[in-house]
This record gives sequence, C-alpha cells and structure tokens, in this order.
Amino acid sequence: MFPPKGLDKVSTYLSQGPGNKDPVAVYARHVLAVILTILEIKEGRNRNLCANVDRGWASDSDPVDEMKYVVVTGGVLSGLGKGVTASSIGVLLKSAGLRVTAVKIDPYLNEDAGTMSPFEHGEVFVLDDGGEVDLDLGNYERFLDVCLTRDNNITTGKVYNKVIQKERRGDYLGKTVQVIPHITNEIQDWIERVAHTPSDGNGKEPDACVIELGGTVGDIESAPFVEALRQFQFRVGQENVCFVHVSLIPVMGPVGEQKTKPTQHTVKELRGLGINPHMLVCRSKSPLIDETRNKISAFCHVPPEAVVSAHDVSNIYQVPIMLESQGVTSMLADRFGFEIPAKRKVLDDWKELADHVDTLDDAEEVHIAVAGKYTDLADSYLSVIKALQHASFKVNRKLVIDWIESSALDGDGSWWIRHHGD
Amino acid sequence: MVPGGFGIMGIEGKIKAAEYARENKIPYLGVCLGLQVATIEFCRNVLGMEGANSTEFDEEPAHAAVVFMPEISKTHMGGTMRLGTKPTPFLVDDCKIRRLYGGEGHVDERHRHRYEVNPELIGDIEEAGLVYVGKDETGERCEIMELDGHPYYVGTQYHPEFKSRPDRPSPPFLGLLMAASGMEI
Repeated sequence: MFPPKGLDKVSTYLSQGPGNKDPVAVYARHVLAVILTILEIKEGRNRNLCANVDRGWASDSDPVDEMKYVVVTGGVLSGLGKGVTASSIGVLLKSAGLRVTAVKIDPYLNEDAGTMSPFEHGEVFVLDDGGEVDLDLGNYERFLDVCLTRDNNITTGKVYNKVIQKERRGDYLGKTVQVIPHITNEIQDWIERVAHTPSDGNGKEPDACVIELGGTVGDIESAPFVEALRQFQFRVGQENVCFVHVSLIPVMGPVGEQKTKPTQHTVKELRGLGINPHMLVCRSKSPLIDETRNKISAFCHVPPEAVVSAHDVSNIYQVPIMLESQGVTSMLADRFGFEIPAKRKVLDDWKELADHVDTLDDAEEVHIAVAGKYTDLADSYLSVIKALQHASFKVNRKLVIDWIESSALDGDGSWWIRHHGD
Repeated sequence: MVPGGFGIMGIEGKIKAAEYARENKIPYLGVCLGLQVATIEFCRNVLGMEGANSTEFDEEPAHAAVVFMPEISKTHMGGTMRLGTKPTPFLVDDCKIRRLYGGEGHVDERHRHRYEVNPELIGDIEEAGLVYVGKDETGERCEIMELDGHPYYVGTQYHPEFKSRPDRPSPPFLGLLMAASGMEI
C-alpha cells in the first residue's frame, strides 16, 4: 500500500525542523540526511575526485608560456632516491608559482603494478581513478599535493598494448611497425598528453611536468624510453627541457675519499645515448667537497654549480631545502625563463614542516605495533608508514613502529606483554 | 595496527592481534584486511561463531564472516578488484571516526579489495556493539567499523593511507595516534 500508513506523520515531523526532539522525529531527520547525502554522491560522483587536494595555494598568474619538462634519470644503481629527488624538484618549481604534475616511467613489461608482489617491488599505490601504480606516484602525490591518474604511470606493457591495438585497427596504414618511430612516438605523445592533464584540483593545465625514468640508464628495457626522451627535447624545444641525472658518490678508504668514477661512467653512457645532462644530483653520505665537485664537472661536461650534493639529511622533507640552498631553483628559472617570486609560501611552509619533524626526535615516543606479512621490506607498507608519520607530526610525538611478523604472533597475544610489560 | 594484505599467511596472528586490542582496550586501526580480521575475531569470540572465517582463507567455513564480492572476476587477477575512489556516506550522526573527518556527511577514499564483510551477518554483529558506521551508497557494503565502549577500535575497508598528506594526516591514522597518545577524540 502506498503511501504507507503513518507517512503523513513523518512528513509533519520533518516540517517541524530540528526543534522537535521526539525520537521518531530525530530518527526521521537522520534518515533523510543520509538519503540526501547518497543522492548527492550519485549525482556528482566525479566531483569528489581530488577531494583531499588543497586548492588554495596557487595564484592565477601564468609564470611560463610553454610546458616545461624536467627529466630525471638515474645511474650506477637503483634505489638512489630518484623519486625523492624528482618530487623535491617539483616542490621547488611549485614554490616558484608553477603548477606541477609528474610522470613515472617504469620500463617493466607489466601493464601496471597491480599484480606485482609487494615483497619484490614495494607497495602497490592506488589512485583516485583506480589505477594500481608504482609507489613513487605516492611520493609525487604527497610532495606536490596533486592527484594523479593511471596514465601518469607509463610502463612498457601499456605502451606496447596501445601500439598493438593501433596496428590491429589498421592505424599505421600498412607500415612496418617498429620500436623507432612507432614505440618512441607513442611514448612522446603519451608524455605530452599527460603533462597537460590538470592534476592539482583546480582544473587548470600544469606549467611543468617532472618525468622520472625508472631503473638505471643502460638497462635493455629502458632503451626505447631513453631514445624517446632524446627525441623529445627536439619535439618540444630544448629550452623547455632540463635533464637531471642522479648518481652515487661512494666513499672509500680510511680517509673517506669521495669517488667520482661511477658517476663519470654513467654520465658517459647517458651522453652516448644522446642525452647531455644539465644537472647532476650526487647522492653521498656527507656533503660533496669542492674538489669532488670540480672533478665531476671536468669529466662530465656540466658546470661546477650544476653538480648538486644530495647528502644524507635528518628527514626527507629537508631534501627540497637542501636543493634550494644550492641554487637549483635559480638554475631552473634561468633555463626555463621564469621569475622566482620574492615571497614563496610553499617553500616557507615546507621549511617549517622539515624543522618541525626534526624537533620530534626529542619528543615523547608513541609506539604503534604493525602486524603484517611483509615486515622485512618497509617499502611494502610505504603509504601506511607515511600516514602514521603524518599523524605523529600532528600529535607532536616521536613515532616508533614496532613491526610484528603476524605469523610469529603467539596464541595468547603474549608478544605484546613480553615487549611492553602490559 | 593491522594493514591491508592478501593470502592466508599470518592471518591467525592478525586475528589474535585484533582480539588482544579489543579485550585490553588498546587502540586499534584495521585497514582493508585489518577490518576483515577484526570482524572475524568478533564473530568468533563475541558472537560465539566457532570457525568463523573469510572465504579467502577457508572455502567452506562454519560461518562465513567475510565473503568474495559477487561482481569480481575469478579468472583475471589484473585490474579486476574493486578499485579507486568511492564515496562512503556516514550512517550515524556522531561517532569518533566521523568527528575525525570533521563531521562530513560522507568521505571519498580509495579502495582495493575483492572480499567484503558478509552482508547477512551485519545485523547480528551490529547488535553486539561492532557498528558499521559507514557503508557504500547502496547501504549494503561495509566500509567503516567502530566498536562501542572502546577508546579507539576502528576499521576501514578502504585504504585511507593513500590520501594522507604531511600537513593533513589521514583522519583514521590521526585518530589512532591521538588515542595511542592518550588524547581525547
């Protein structure tokens, strides 16, 4: 029977507003509020993407007239912190008023990271659009405060898939489909398309795009990407591209001499592939000494000021500050032709954060026990660790994570008691 | 804290961790699988459903507390989970987790899962005090759980960690740290 009995009573209740404290009226209002929320969600689902991004940071000014690309490659070995370097350069560009987006290239054949083991490859990061991607995309989202799409993670699998689909459709008009030019063109088209996709929640096209090439230069799998990036500088204009190469400076012997040979080799390899780096970021334990800097400059065809020291710092939020202090922003400004504003709120906020994190070393500890399966490799839980850290910054405590291999938990939970007394 | 994961290895240990936190009023946050193990533990030890389990770990458990979602592919592993940002409306006026989210009517968080809390058991579980305060827009799929009368016993089917920012921590994580530091939520 419709309307059901008593419905008129409910509508009377609702019309009386929040003044009526009758439990039935309170409940009726609550049900109505939930229904309205659900209707709102159903009508405007897509508007809820990028919901967590801070839209308030940027002015409407246009600092550059053409898209600027920073390409970050790596040499010697993986795990050098290319992702953090690339994100930090993004932060510096953003602090100069540019809208920044990011692309991560993973030369593996998997279509995406969704089927890859966290044991082997670290966490699978999930994006708003459901893309399952490399964990570096998480670094970009957190550092640049953007929300990216699955297309921001390019893999060999994705590129080949697309080219083969085109070939099957007959798009290549009978041509022989080859790595050069078909794969390399597809890579360049892809990068350009994604670079122009808004990512900071304001719906505006970015001004700059940081592209990180995964793996190390010289790998078989990354060769088509290196070639595509070499061609790319001519496609978009050399004045719009800055190549940054991240390398390692090991320290040898009792006197702790900084060794430059691995860097010399990797730059030679990169230049052999047709890419001249504009900036070298050198990972090392302690700051580069002038002698090392000059030697690298002489052997690697970069000016000494473009040899940047990326030594160990107290926390990763100090990395952009460290790069800033060595003139990285002004080098980028010179190359790309933009003005650095006198006031840079993004950078000030960043400094404050980095220093705040340092002070927590002496703060009271808070212990969080994490019961997991992949506790040997912290990268498997990278975003969880980050979220716990972010929360600890807010409550002003020093975070201590106690990893518990869940298969080792005793039957009665006595692990906890053994370690914490209660 | 029990984060997300797949596979049976270590699952009983995670269930023990949830039990220990619930009984001893230690702050607990379960993400994805972490919500599911808390649900299994609750079914076993509070509702007395011996042998309650997820169909992920036991194909025919005595009580299926967590089940495979009907729309998910059983043959293709790549890109077939319930993925990405989906809205979760809050179904209660006031609870800790809603306060942490600033009182919003709904939250938009990212998902990655194949299994869910068995919709048929929700009524019994909620009656015993473990309330699913947020469900998806159909009102059937459990998204956020919170235990009555515990300082902080929260689980989310979604992964809140993906949207955390250095200056804006993810609310469920902030709640865990606040509770662990003895702060009022």
